[in-house]
Parts: sequence; structure tokens; C-alpha cells
Amino acid sequence: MFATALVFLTLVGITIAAVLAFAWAARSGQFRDLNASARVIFDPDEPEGETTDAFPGEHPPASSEKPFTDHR
Amino acid sequence: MNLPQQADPAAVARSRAQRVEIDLSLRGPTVHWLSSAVFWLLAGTVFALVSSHKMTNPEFVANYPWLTFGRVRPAHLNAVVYGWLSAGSIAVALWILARLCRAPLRHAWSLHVAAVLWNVGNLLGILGILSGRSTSIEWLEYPGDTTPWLIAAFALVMWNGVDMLRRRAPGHLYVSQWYLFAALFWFPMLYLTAQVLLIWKPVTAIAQGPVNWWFGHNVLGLWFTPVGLASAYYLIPKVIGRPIHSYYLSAIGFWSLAFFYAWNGMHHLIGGPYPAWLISASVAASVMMVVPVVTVGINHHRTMVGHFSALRWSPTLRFVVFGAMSYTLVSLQGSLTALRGVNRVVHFTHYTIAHSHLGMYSFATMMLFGSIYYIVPRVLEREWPSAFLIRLHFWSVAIGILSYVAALTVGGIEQGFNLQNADMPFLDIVRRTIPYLYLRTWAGILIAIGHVAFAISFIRVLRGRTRPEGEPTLLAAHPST
Repeated sequence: MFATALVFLTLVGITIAAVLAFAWAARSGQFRDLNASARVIFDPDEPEGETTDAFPGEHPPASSEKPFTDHR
Repeated sequence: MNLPQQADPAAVARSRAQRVEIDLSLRGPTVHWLSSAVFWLLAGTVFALVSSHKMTNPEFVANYPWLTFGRVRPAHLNAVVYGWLSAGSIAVALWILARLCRAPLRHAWSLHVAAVLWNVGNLLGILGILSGRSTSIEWLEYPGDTTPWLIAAFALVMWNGVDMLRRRAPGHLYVSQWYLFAALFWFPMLYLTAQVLLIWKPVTAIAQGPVNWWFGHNVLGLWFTPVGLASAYYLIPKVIGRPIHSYYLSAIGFWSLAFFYAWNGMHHLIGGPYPAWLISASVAASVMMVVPVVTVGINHHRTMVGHFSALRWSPTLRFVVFGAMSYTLVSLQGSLTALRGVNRVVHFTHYTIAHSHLGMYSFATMMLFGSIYYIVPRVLEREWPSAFLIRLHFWSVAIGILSYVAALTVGGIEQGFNLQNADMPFLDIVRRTIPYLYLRTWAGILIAIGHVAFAISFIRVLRGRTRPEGEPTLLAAHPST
């Protein structure tokens, strides 16, 4: 019974922690301008539209199957 | 249509300098943790092959107590879960966090200390299992005296993760950061709870079942899954040079996982002597996991649409997309398996082993391979030595794990239906699984060949045996249009 209660409390605790984190995210503007959030992984030297990986000694083809398009 | 824009050369130079500074700050710890991970991967592979061969040839090395099935099989599980996957996940998580926080690592020494502690803990744990001191609690077989080593190591890892969060560049947190920060808290919470209730102050035997399976299931969903998905959300867009299809969907995927995943686990005890509400809550939570899984699957697929040709030339993308597709498959299979009607047939069969390998290998391990192929050239500023070895690695492990999962899934379902038949002698049912067990060993050999190719690549890149001619292609960005 002690174990069940402690596991139950822990998983309730994890859920409450998630709710608090969600509240902080909403208050601090994390859900405003979601398109900007998607682009934070790009930098001026590794910008959107450039590939960054290939087999050693090989280069990716000059063009993909389709031109680079924003689908959102 | 968005085309790459010409950036200010000074901004490009600043950005490149910052990226290089971050990567170099992580060089030593990343190499330390990944070298450890590769060692444990090879050790875990040997244990796997020995235990798989014993399923069809029980007399194999049967005279050595250290190598009996009951010891080698948990040695395999713990070596790959804590030695390979956890160590590799820590290296990948910290690198991605540093990149996204735009914060170089400040305390490299602490991660070296952590790696030593982690390795000592794993070594003592594996020796403990092989010498017969296993706790016999699945996923937690290491003797209790190894726990402090692992907890101390993870505390240092958490400290560095929190330090990066505090120093992060202003602006939005990317979805990978959410997954990684959460995972750095979820894992110790799960591990400590399980250790207290099962090892340090064991509760009564009947109560150990729910604790055991709550831990065993959640360590996949709240530790390996967030790290794997964080890698996919960072690497797929980075490699193809295109943002994820929908950040909105990624937010739904993360928050639904965070709210509901912890309720999973007790569905492993269907048919056991437990309150029905306890198991039903987990069955319901497991079915609810369809929401994050479908959102993540759609998001990754839509991001890749129009860029599948990139799989031909990007080693990272091959492994990561394979892992992402496996995530969708294993998760939907998991929700289905949690249903009482399905569980009644497949529980206690080889189907379960296929399912766990679909999760821990096809998803988590392939994600880790893809991440390592991306990260290592950047922290070492050195190219991988051989495209052939990478291709050999990919095709060996991809064909190997698909054969493994297919053989044990079919064999397990057949075994499950046979076990429902009261007229069929038990030994006949066991004998009918033997062809599938041979297939399992052959698939394991194929996977082992891939691991050897990967280890050779890794050792050669560490020793600097790289291609002398040409530009390091992994380090140079190329226009995708």
C-alpha cells in the first residue's frame, strides 16, 4: 500500500510539475509566434535553406526533389 | 517560396565563432561519454549473442556459472540500457542543449568526473550480475551498492544542464529544449523512486510489481523517448535546412506526453493480483499516447515531404528517419498491446521481446547512431573516415533489427495463440518457437556486424585517420535549392 501510494504521489507530482511548467510557458510568451520558435535552430552561418550533412567525401546534390518551400 | 538570404558577413563570422566555441567546449566530455557508450554497446552485443545462442543451444558455455542465461541476459539488458543508451543520450542531450541555449559548457571537468562515476557504476553492476548478485528486478538488476555511483554521476549531468538553461540566450525555448530539460528531471525522479522502494527499503513483494513496471515503462517514455524526439526535432530540420512542418503540433506532442505518460506502466500487470482501477488507469493512459505519437509522426513526415532524396546523401538522416518511423510504429503497437484482449494473447511470449527491441533499438538506438554521426565531426572538427563503413553499419543494423522484430513478432503471436490452446502440450509450443529463435540469432549477428563497423569508424575518427583530401563535407553547409 505504501508503494502504491508513493508511486501514485510521484506520478501526480510529475503531472503537477508539467502543469506548472505549462503555466510558466504560457505566461512567459513561449506560445506566441510559434513560427519564430520553429526557426530558432538556424543561425546566420547555418541558415534556413542550407543542408548540413553528407557522407564523408561526398556532396549533396545541388537541388532537392522540390524547391525549398514554406509549407506552413 | 523562401530562398536562403545573403546574411551580413560579420554576423555569419560571429555565429560561426560562437558555434565552434560551443562545440569545442563539449569536445572532451562528448568524446569521454561516447567512447564509454561504444564500449558498452560492444559488451552488450556480446552478451546478447551469447544469450540468444543459448535459446537454441542451452548447453553452450553452460559450465560457467558467470555465463548462465539468467545472468547473461540481464547483463545484456543493463549494459545497453545504462552503459550504451543512457551514456550516449547524456552526450547527445548536453550537446543539443548547449547548441540551442547558445551556451558553451563551463564545467567540462564535472562531466569527466560524471563519466568516470557512471562507468564505475556500470562496471560494478555488470560484474555484480555476472557473479550472481542480481536483484532479479527487471531493468534494475544492478546490485544496490552500484546505485550511488550512477546517481552521483547523473546529479553532475543535471547540474550542467540546469547551468545551460540559466545561461541560455533570450527568446523562445525550442521543442527539443523542452524535451531535454524535462528528461533530465524525469529520469532521476523515476530512478530514485524505484531504488528507494525496490532496493533500499523494499516494499512487500506484491507491491513491487507496480513499482517495477511503472519504472520499466516510464524509463523508456520519459527518458529515452524525450532524448530521441529532441534529436529528431533538432536534426531533421538542421540536416535538410527547413523548419519543422508545424511547431504547434510539436507543442501538442510534448505537453500531452508530459501530462499523461507517467500514468503508464501498470498495464504490464494485466491479469495480476492488483486493483482493476490501477491497471485500467494505465491502459487508458497508454491509449491516450496515440495523441502525442500521431502529432509527432505527422510532423516529422510533413517536414520530410519533398526532401526524401536527402536520405541518399545524409547518414544522420538515414538513422534518424528510421528511428522516427520506428517511434510511430512501436508507440501505436504499444497502445494496441495495452488493450486487455491483445495482452491476454501476446503477454509472456516472444512478441514482447520484439516490441521492446522495436522501441529500444529501432527507435532509441537508431536515433542515437544518427545523432552521433552528426555530432562527432563537429566536436572533433574531423571527418568520418569512411562512407563505406557508415553504409555497412546502416544496412546491417537496419536489416538485422527488422528481421529480428519480424521473426519474434510472428513467432510470438503464434506462441500466444498456442498457449491459449489447452490441448497443446507446453513442450510442443516451445519447440515450435525454435525456428524463430534461430532467426533471432542470425539477425543478432547481422546487427553485431553493423556495431563492429560503427566501432571501427568511431575509433578511426578518434585517432584522426580521416580522409586527407577535400573539404570535410559534414562541416560545410550547402544550399538545398
